[in-house]
Order: sequence, then C-alpha cells, then structure tokens
Amino acid sequence: MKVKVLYWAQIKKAAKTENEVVEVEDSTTPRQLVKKVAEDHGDPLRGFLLEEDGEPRKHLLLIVGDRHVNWDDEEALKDGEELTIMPPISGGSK
Amino acid sequence: MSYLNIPPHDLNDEERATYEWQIWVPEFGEEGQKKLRGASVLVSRVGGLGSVVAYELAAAGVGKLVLAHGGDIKPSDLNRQLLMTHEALGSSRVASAEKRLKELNPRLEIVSIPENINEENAAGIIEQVDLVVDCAPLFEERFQMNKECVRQRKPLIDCAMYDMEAQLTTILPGETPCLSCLYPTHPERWKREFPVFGAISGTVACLGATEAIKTIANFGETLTNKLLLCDLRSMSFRKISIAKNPECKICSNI
Ligand SMILES: [Zn+2]
Repeated sequence: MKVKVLYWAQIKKAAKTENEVVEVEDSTTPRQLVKKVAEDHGDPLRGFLLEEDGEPRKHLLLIVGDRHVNWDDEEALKDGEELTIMPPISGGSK
Repeated sequence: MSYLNIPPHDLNDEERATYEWQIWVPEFGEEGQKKLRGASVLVSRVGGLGSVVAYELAAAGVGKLVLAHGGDIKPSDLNRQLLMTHEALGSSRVASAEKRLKELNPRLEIVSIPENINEENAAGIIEQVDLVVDCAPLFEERFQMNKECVRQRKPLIDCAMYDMEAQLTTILPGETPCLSCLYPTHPERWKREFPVFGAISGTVACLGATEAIKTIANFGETLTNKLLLCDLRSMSFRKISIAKNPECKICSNI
C-alpha cells in the first residue's frame, strides 16, 4: 500500500522534502514507518528521527490524518493515509 | 462550566470608553471585560512571541501582567521583540517592556521579573496569576511551567514556532493533555537560535492572546484537546486531536 509522509520544521530540512509517498507493506504501524524513512534517507534525517540504538526519538509528535498517536499505538496505517512527523518546537526568544 | 472563575472587577468610565468596541463582541460583552479586568496573566519571556502576547493583553484590558525575562536588549532582538526599542539597546528587557505597556495602558498592574522561569522561581511566580502564556525558547522552561501549572491547576497556553511554522494548544490540567503528554522525553538536540520573522512570531502571539482572552472570559471554542498547526509559508492551518497520555509522569494522577 501507499502512504504519505509529511515532514515539519527542522526535519523538513533534514528530509530535503516537505512530503513523499512511500510504498509499505500492509499492517505497517506509524512507528515502523518512521524507522523505514529514517533508514531509507540515512543521515541527517536518520539522526533526527532515531536514537543511537535505532529506536525512534519519543519527543517527536506523530500525527495520523488529523489525530495525534502515541508511540506504542499498534494500529496499522491504512492505504492512502498521511503520517505527519513533527519535531518539538519551542520558539520565543533568548 | 468554565475552568477559570475570575471574579468580575468593576469598570470605571475610562475603561468603559476604552473597551467599547470589544464589549460589542457577541458573547463577550461587559461581563467578559470585567473578567479580563479581574484577571492576572504570566507571560514568560517577552521576546518575539511574548512581546506581542503582552501587548495584546494590555490593550485588551487584562488587570495584571507578570512578565519574566532575563537579560538586556540586543540588536538581534529588534526584528521581532516589539516591546524593545532601539533607544533602549543594552538596557533591561523587562524594564523596556514595562515602559511600553504602561504607555499603552497606564491602568495595568505590572510585575516585572528580570529572570527567566526556572525550577526555583516557577512555583512562586505562577502563584501570582490565574493563567500562563508560555513563550519560552527552551524546553526546560516550558516543562517547568507545565509541571507547575499542572500542580496549581492553572491554564497554560503553549505557543511555539520555528521558521514559518507554528503550533498552539491550550492546556487545562486534568481536562486536556499537558506538555509532557505530548513530549514524554525531553528533547535535547533542538537549539534555541532559529530562523524567524517578527510577523510570524507576532501572528502566533496574537493567536495565543486570543486563546487567553477566550479562556478568561469563557466564550468561544478554545484549543483544548487540539493542537493547531500553522504553516505560514503556504498559509495552511490544521487542527489535530490530541489526547492525554495515561502514562504521563506529570498529569496522569490528577
Ligand atoms: Zn500530561
């Protein structure tokens, strides 16, 4: 099946694209998809998405369609769904 | 039922005249204005976001503002920190902010704290207010305010931005996810210098001030259990549903 991945803020720069359509196996979870795009892209995106041990950085926000999902959410993505990966942003000023 | 029950404060003739046009806003009215007059708000850091939040709240007639921000004005502040002036370069940021706000609204009570929020001062500062607008650049400060707002059950409006993107949510401890529900681990690799236009931080700040006004006066629909994502490069806005994390270390036991 095909799913769309949308990148936000700093990780958009690391991915060098705002979004992309990715071919994945049925029953892929959001967490598995993050690992897949990290490995497919390599660094610098990989370093933004994964810890040294290869597990996803849990301070990233994962959004499926218009709903925030937790990292341990095992519900698989559906064909055509969109996964947004957001880095933590703060802002304000020094 | 409203989360905040601010005791209404009587308005004098000058206040009625000043706020006449916003008192016309349906559902807000004179009752809403009296609540704003009775309310106190902490704006943490009065930089790109906080300057504009504080200015809008001062203009709207909030009774008391507590401003917390350390350091002196630098040239690189002046593209977005609208309460700072060229003339005041090198002098205290909160002092400049207080002066500008008083020029707009001399009735406003201001408590200026020339420090950023930290573990030692957070509890005492947040005890002085009804609501907090979080405009801090560092996650340590954000998590500190989140923890204290949860402990004191005070609304926290969290405004954040990067480049031309922004996000906003209104946290009502016990009823909505808190910041730690969204970010269970502390982000460590994000720097505080970031690309920003004043028009972008100002836009996000106006959205945050709007949330504060609605939360205080209890009208409209706020961003509770929602995260607003704005991409101002393409002018696209999305509202995301967010939920409490049952395992949250900060708010799961309240
Ligand atoms: Zn929480």
